[in-house]
Amino acid sequence: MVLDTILSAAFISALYAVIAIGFTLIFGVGGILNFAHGGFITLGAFSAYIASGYFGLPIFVGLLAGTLVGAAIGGATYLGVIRYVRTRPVTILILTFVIGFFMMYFVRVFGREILGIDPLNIPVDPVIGFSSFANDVFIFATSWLLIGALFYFVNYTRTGRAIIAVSMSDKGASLVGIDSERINLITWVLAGAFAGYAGVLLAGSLGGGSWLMSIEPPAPLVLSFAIVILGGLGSIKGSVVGAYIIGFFETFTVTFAPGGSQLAGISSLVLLLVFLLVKPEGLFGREAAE
Amino acid sequence: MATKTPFEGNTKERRREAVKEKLQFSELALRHRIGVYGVVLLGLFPTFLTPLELDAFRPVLFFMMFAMSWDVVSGYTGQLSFGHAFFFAIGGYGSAVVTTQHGLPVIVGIVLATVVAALGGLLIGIPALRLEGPYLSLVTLIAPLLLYQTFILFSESLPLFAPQGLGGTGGLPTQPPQVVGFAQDALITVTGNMSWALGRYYTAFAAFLLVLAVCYAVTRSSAGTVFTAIREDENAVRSSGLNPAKFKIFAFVLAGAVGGFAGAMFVHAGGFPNTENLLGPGRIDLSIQVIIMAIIGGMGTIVGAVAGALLFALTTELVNALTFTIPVLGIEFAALDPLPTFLLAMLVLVYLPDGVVPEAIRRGRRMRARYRGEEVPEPEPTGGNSPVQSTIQKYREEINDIIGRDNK
Repeated sequence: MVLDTILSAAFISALYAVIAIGFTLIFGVGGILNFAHGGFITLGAFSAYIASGYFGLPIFVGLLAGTLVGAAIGGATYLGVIRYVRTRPVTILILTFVIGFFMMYFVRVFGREILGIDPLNIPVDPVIGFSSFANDVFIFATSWLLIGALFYFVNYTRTGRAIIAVSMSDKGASLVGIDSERINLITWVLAGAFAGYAGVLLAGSLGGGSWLMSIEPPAPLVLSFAIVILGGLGSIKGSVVGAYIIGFFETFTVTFAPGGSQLAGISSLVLLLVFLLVKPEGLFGREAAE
Repeated sequence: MATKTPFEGNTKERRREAVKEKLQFSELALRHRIGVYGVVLLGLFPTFLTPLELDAFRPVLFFMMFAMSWDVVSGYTGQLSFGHAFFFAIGGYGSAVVTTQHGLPVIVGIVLATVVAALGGLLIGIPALRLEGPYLSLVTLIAPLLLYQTFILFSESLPLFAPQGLGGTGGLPTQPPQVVGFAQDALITVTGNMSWALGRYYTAFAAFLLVLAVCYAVTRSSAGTVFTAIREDENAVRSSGLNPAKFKIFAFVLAGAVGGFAGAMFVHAGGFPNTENLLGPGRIDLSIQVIIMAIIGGMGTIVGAVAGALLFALTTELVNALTFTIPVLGIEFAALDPLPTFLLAMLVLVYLPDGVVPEAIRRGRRMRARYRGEEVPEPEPTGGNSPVQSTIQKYREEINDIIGRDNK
């Protein structure tokens, strides 16, 4: 029983980590709280549906499509809107909210009016279809693979180091010849790809997506915000740790607390509220992207 | 009237004189007169709209109240609240539960709901003292989500408070008694559709006037000046011997009370107490729409919130009226709702960051000066920053502080 719980907590945490990492990247590098993150996730899942459910391609293609669309939308959001308002954080904050809701409503309108599906139930298959355990293992493995790749990219490649430099000081970075515009674009594309990928996996393991999936339990939008705060805003390492804390806490309350199944989606929020009031700077606060 | 030095005469009487002078209609500035005409026009809507149109317009009055409630705290003190619907839902559900499940009269329900929502304001306001920028945004964002989960958790019954439960996702099972309605339990029982529609409209309109008066009076009083000062520079407020914490909490409590009152009036004037109406179909999107309205109109002005809500509603209405078919997609334009409205909101946010009302006032001033042949006034006659600019400044400093970025 306990072992099972630990296992499923580890699986869900791995998914949460992928969900949160894009949010961290954008905040760490650009200082932007990207509330359109939920929109990226939703669009990722929706593209997977279009590729695999609507056109009947294998779900791996759907996963690829979701990731690519996420990356494209991330880049487009930066190039099309955010770039012009970068000096106005409050405007950005509200804009990202508007953009996120625009995407969600887009899924609703497009799904209902054109594809004729129920936007609350968008069928997306799990990537590994024959057993949910194998699917969980797939999610867990690729999650660590991607996080490892991101670590390597950020810490050991020229572009990655440029990202760290920009996150520390974009004026300093531009003094040594780093094009911070390009770096920002790269982070948005990366974050979008992570979000799209996570969206497909999430929809797959939940048994389907929904236009509201980013704010319905487990509420990936709020979750990534929570994870990122828990781990310390802007720290990749922190948000991986934060994802595991939240994942374990949630799984354990749902399994072991009396009436726990009703607490899904609340327990982590309550934990977060307590955390915010006691230690608002997070576990790994004041660290740049690492 | 003889001129008096500030220290002479009866204080009360001088205050009254000052207020009277300010209220001289013919002496009002042009923009204030336009505002008064606008409110009177809102009151005269029933003279030329059909009952059906009136009913369609009534929610807009509530959007205006909601947006004003946001503006009082976020527009003035710069403490951005991302979950303002929390207060509306507390007010609406509170009053509905009190009247339907405890059998108390409507008036008591509204008063109690307002008090409870004010307490909700306290609940958010106290963490707001410790938390800055993004952290506060998160707490305020979580509040309505937690409330939503509470509705589901206690859908069957919440002992003591709501014996028949909170109704879960579908909303409360019964419509609470109305202020004006056909049923016997209404405060004013009417017969006939016209008087019913009129009654509901004027109930909403009266609530609107009250909220407008309260918000306007507070923000134009010395407390409003302190709110603005908190937004500009908290340390300056502190060094002049005022306690910013007290005023921040006051702002949150006031916003909570106003929002809760509006929510309560909403369910007693024809609105149904469910999450879709009081939190938005996407659970947090009403909160976001309210922010959009206030910012489109111009944050930190109260009047801007009203104008923004009106603009937002007109756009939605316009989109819904356009029933032509889009060539490639083969669906009606109206089916795209609310995408065009959101798109427009994005454009305004990018290109008119100060909002429509301040921009209009600025242009109006310039035009009038030119018309009268006077010198064209400087763009920023008062000096200093616009509300949006200083909120941005504050937020940017907080974010840089958090991620330890050095951008001097």
